[in-house]
Amino acid sequence: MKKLSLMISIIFLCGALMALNPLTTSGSGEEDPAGHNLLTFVVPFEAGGGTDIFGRFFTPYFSDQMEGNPLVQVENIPGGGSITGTNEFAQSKPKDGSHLLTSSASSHIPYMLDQSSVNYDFKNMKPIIGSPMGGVVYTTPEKAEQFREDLTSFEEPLYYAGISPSGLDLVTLLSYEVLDLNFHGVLGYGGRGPSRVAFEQGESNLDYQTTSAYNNNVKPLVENGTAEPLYSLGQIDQNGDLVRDPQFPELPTVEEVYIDQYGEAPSGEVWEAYKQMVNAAYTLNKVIWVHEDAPVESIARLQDGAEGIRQDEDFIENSETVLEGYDVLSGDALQKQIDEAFNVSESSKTLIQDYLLEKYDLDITEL
Amino acid sequence: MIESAIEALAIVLDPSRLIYMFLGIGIGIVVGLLPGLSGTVGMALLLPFVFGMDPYVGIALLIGMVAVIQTGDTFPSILLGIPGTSGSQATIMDGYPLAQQGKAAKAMGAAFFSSLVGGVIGGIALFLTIPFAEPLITAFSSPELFMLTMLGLSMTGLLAGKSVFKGILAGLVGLLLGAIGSAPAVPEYRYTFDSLYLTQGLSLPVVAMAIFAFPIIITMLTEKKKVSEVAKLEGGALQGVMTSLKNKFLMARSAVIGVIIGFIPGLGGSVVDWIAYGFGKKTVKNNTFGEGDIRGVIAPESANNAKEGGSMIPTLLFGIPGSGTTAILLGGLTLMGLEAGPSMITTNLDVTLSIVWTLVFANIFGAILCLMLIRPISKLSTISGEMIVPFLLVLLVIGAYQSSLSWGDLVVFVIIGLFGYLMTILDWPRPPLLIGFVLAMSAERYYWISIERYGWEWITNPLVIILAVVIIVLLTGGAIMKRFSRRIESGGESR
Amino acid sequence: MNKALANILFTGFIFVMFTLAWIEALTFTRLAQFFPLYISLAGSTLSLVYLLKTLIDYRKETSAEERAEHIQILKPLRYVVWVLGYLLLIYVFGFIIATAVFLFVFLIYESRMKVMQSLVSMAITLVVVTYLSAAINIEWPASLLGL
Repeated sequence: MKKLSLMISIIFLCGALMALNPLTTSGSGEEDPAGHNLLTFVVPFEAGGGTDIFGRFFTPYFSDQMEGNPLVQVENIPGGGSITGTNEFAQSKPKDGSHLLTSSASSHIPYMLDQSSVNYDFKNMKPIIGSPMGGVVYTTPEKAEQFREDLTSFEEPLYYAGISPSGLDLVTLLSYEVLDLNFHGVLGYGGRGPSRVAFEQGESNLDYQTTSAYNNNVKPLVENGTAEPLYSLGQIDQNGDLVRDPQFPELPTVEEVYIDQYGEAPSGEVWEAYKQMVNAAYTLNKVIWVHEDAPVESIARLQDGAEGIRQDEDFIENSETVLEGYDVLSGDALQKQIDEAFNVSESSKTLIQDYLLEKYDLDITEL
Repeated sequence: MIESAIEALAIVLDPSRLIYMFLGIGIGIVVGLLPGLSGTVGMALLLPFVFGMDPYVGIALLIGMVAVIQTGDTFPSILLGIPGTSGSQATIMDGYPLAQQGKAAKAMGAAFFSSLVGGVIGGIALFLTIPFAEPLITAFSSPELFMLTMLGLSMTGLLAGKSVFKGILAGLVGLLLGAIGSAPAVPEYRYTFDSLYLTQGLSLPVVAMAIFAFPIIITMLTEKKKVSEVAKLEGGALQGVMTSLKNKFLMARSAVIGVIIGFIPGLGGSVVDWIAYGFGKKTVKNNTFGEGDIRGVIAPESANNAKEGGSMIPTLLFGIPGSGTTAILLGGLTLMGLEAGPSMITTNLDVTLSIVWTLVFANIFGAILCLMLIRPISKLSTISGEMIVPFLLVLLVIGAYQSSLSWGDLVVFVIIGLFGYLMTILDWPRPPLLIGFVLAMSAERYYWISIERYGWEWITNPLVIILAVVIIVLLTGGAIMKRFSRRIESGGESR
Repeated sequence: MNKALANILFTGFIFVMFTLAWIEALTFTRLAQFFPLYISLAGSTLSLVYLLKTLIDYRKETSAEERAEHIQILKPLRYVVWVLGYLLLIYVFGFIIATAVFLFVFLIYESRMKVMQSLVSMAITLVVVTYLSAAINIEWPASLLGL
């Protein structure tokens, strides 16, 4: 008995240590004592990733701007490269407007390419807020010069370090295909950080980084003369055209590079597929959704809230770091962009599927 | 830089921030103490609160927590033979036998003191490498990283125990388990049997707990025994501290290993303790590693705390997280309005330096707190098995479930656990399995990248050759060195 | 069962596992294949060699000592069943109820605690566990009944 009480007191000690932490006890939003309604953001990744940070960044603003000031909590459902959580949201989360999904390009691309493990359909969801991201392709200064002179003149392929051909790399790979660049893709790196280090080591000489990583880690390289940007991946505007990235107004788009090199505008299926992928993976990099079956009034409340957030001064000020300075989309503009992006033509789809199968040995319909 | 370091010290010692550091320390120790909860869980737990916090306060909280997890996790490793987190598996090898001999307090005293020293060395290493970080990191390209994983795998040879066959086979089983899930070269799923859970691969905390904790639970019940075979606990924590002091070179050596392994991005810190243990086993004279040699506790404990300092370098300066914990730390920095990258040693140098100080202080305070807890907690080892096991099982189930919040975690825990139990009763060494598992992904990834990028040219890289020599020396040369040192001791016949 | 025989069976199991693994690996595409194929082929060969070696040793009865060493089967099995039973309870009734039932029954039957004592320790564990979950957002396995 003495030993038992000792053990119990030890367990208590652990509890007491926890109690030392007033933050955690008061802050966790499990309970709902004040009778507020509770809003849950489903994030299909572990805590701490880009999408999770995105979701968490929005929580206080939804609470402030929405009618009734709901409590907002984040629920992480990791697994399957975001597919597990997105499936779970689509299939088993209540469709009463209390649960929202935070999706990202990692759920968009498999959806567009008909990956077999996808059991969700964005057509059955209503977008609330969407946020873009950009990407910049860069190389070494010598190669950049050669590239600008004549990009077909590379005798030895440029080495590109990537993560996986079916992720965000796909867009970059397609841009090389549009330009008909002689490159050798080495895919299998553990992340964009390691692939950048591979560039710094000289293991690769062609790389891309997304906006914030580019600004933080590649700009210094550009300044000390070891890297030079070639073009930005661009953004898709409301008319479906590729435009310069607002964060990199000085960098040309793939289209401009193509015109510069070949003297005509790019066309054909690869070009269409590229634009489509830029739209779904970059212009709509992250989207917060609600079930379409949710009550009309709660969808309206969410949309009004999103509108309010977009104009909130505090939000605009703070979004600089997390959203990389891009303007968020909401309302009709967002809906229109999404209709455009997710309406993949059969031919683009088969083109990409065949491309992945031929060049990277990857049958995406089997995944 | 010294000047900025002193300024940062003043920032860290500000009472309002110090409170948060102690809060972090408290949480870190509890998270480390509970098997299955690791730094990743601790980070995920604190993340919601750092949003919009003053960066120095947030850092005090987060780093305070990270720094001491490897200190707190020693309790279950030594007392119960269950790894508190996946970073303290090697501590079990000698810590648990010591507890069985009734020397738990001494072992823990040594462990905490080594943790303290290792952690402080890690913090200092972070400080010292700031100016050289860039050339150091870019020195390791894929072929070198591949050779480093091979170096890690060669530890299985050292830890194989009596039968080399069993050791290598266990290592291969680990590699095969690590191959489950998506391949690095192409996102194709292997051995997933159409389950979405397995596409992410098995998670390290679950495998580590299954392989070490599950067998312990069953044996404690079947043999109806207490952890400590002797009724009276002997030796105090102070004795352990003195022993560590006597082995100061081992402590320092292991800390350096910890810093280096933590520092190399892409290797992951989870094998640090094994590598330090393996090196210790090879280099310590007249050792009885594996049967309750206190030096087998000192080496991994010093290394796993030192690792944290090392792993901050690629995380902060390059934005490359080496582990789940540092990955979330990166997210936390973003939430506080900071971005990892070269700016951390220019405009945000004070933040980096405050991380250094926090690491140093948290390690000191954390170790002192743990030393004070030894006396009450070490009595756990005298409670009989069937009294403690049910509570432990509840804890383990909770812990295993936290790794991906899926039933798959529990199923894997039981299946691998049964496998581990069979290995235990049939005298198969379990550490090689774990090392194989941890390194499988890196081994495959860097092998593939090396071949795809360089063909076979990379074999002739100078650093690759050096590492190959180190591996060979380690596998064969240990015996020679031992003979050599014995000769010196027996009268210096060697010239 | 004696230990040497159990070891042979276990090695046999590992051999079968590796063999199945390389057969399965043959179906992967080239890039996904090389690593598991190398590993499982090596494992398969090595375990076969070891299996034959132990079989020969066993035949020769060189390991008489090990032969005499028997391993328990029923007793560990009983506790494995306890663990599985606990998980089954969680699966059906949810974590809190399952933990309450499991602790209470286990403490009385296996640990021979008095009813009062086991009730008290069960209650305390539950309180601590729920408190922990509220304090640090720890989640429970989902159950059929959704509790």
